[in-house]
Amino acid sequence: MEETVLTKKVEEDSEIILTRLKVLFKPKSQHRYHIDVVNNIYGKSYNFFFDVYHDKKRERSYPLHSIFNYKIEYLEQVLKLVKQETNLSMAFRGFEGQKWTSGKLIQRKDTHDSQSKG
Amino acid sequence: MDYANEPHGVYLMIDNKSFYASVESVERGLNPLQSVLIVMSETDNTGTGLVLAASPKAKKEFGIRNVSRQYEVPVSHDLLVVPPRMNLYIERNLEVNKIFREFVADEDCYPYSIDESILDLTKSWKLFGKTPLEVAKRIQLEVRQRMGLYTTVGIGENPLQAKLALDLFAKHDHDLIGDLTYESMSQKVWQITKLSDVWSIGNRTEAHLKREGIETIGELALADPYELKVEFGIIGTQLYALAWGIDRSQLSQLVTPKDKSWGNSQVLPRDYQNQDEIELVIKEIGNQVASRMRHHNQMASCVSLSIGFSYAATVEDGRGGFSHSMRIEPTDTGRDLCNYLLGLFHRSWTGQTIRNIAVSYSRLTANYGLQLNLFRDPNQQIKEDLYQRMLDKIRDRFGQMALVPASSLMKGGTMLARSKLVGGHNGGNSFD
Repeated sequence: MEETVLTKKVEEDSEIILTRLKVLFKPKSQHRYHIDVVNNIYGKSYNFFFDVYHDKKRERSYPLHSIFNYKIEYLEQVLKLVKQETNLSMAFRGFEGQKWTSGKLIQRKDTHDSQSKG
Repeated sequence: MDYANEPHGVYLMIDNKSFYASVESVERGLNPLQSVLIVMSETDNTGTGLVLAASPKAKKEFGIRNVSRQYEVPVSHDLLVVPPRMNLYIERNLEVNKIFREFVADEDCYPYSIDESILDLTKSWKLFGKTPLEVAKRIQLEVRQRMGLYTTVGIGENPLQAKLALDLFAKHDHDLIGDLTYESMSQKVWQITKLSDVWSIGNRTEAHLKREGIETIGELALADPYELKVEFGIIGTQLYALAWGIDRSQLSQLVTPKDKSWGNSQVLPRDYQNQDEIELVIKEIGNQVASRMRHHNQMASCVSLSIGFSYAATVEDGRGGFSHSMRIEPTDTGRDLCNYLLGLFHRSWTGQTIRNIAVSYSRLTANYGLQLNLFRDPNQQIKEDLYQRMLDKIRDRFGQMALVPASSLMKGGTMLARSKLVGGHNGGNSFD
């Protein structure tokens, strides 16, 4: 029973992300697109953003969704569903030292401007 | 100056550094002081876009100010542009104030704006440190560690000094802390020559002071207070007190305005010239304000309408717009109030293109029930009243957009688009 509820939640969260992505993603030439997945250590949430980059324009970042079930396993399940529907690359931030359930590191290195507590 | 009888307390004025931009940085896992990020509102009425907040680095590296226009912002891929989420900022502001209230009693924490609060630490600071400075640092650290946000703190013996310390010194201080006392006013503030840098002095007052030969805050302090009063009226005495760092306000004694009113104003998404379109928006605003007033069980005896002309019309007309009020029989009926507003509009409008509309209802009285008009069919009046109350009930239960007049779907209506905004800007995603 509990598992069914959880699966439903995972589906809802991925659905919200994909629906918003669909509205925002209008492929154009010379543009680079990716999804930022952020571990918000303060708000205890995983935040999703859609990022649009063009060499001669301002970079843009649109909020897609925040997940408050703050467990890597849960995030993994949501990402699995999202990846089934989009081939956009994902960039991870704020996951320094954390690993997927498979034991692989989520994020290789720390970016210079990312958050650190203190 | 003898300060012995002036209030001596410990006040902190705390400001969240580049609040919206910082919140957005933290949400993206970026350090608010390192990110190069701007929050840009691109709703219809901002033209091509308006910068609501810029991170400190964006300000420094690109010279961006808050309220810069989109076209003033340099085009560079190093600059990250994000849409505003007003609901999120309100939520974060409440969280920050919750932290503040761990240091003061609830009644000693006064939110001043969405990113500033005044704390009266007079009674509690000794519980948290050896000096007020130490307490200020501790509060900064708490907010930083728990929310990732940087705060700027002004410390003073009264709220005025705390505000001045924040604006004039803390923002430029390495630790983001500034302090002022009665004793240090003369040494720290008196030499300031750009008078409008000082809180409560605007450009016009600065010009007026300069015309009177007052070039520095010190000269203001040494001016004759009686002459200042003659020249500036009551503001003159306030300016004099400001120069000496004197503030006798008791924050715990709330000031209740003498005449409360209900109002709303809008900057239109484009210039409006078509009479039907203008009237439609006046009615939309008029009904919305009437509904708010009814919620508080009040009736208005005065309606006011202000119209701001478009830039071109201002140049042509010589006036920026017009503003009129009229006394009316007390009512809370949207239709009647709108008719009065339209009357005011027709009386003064001569075809100018317009860009701003503001409506307000004042001279409020409590609504003790429907006052029937002897000259109209009473059944009809009762029916109209019941009908209006039913609309209010439905909207209370299902939201403002549950019932919308069909006219709002016509060209020019702004109600539907604005219903999704918070304070005129994007509220952010729902369901988050």
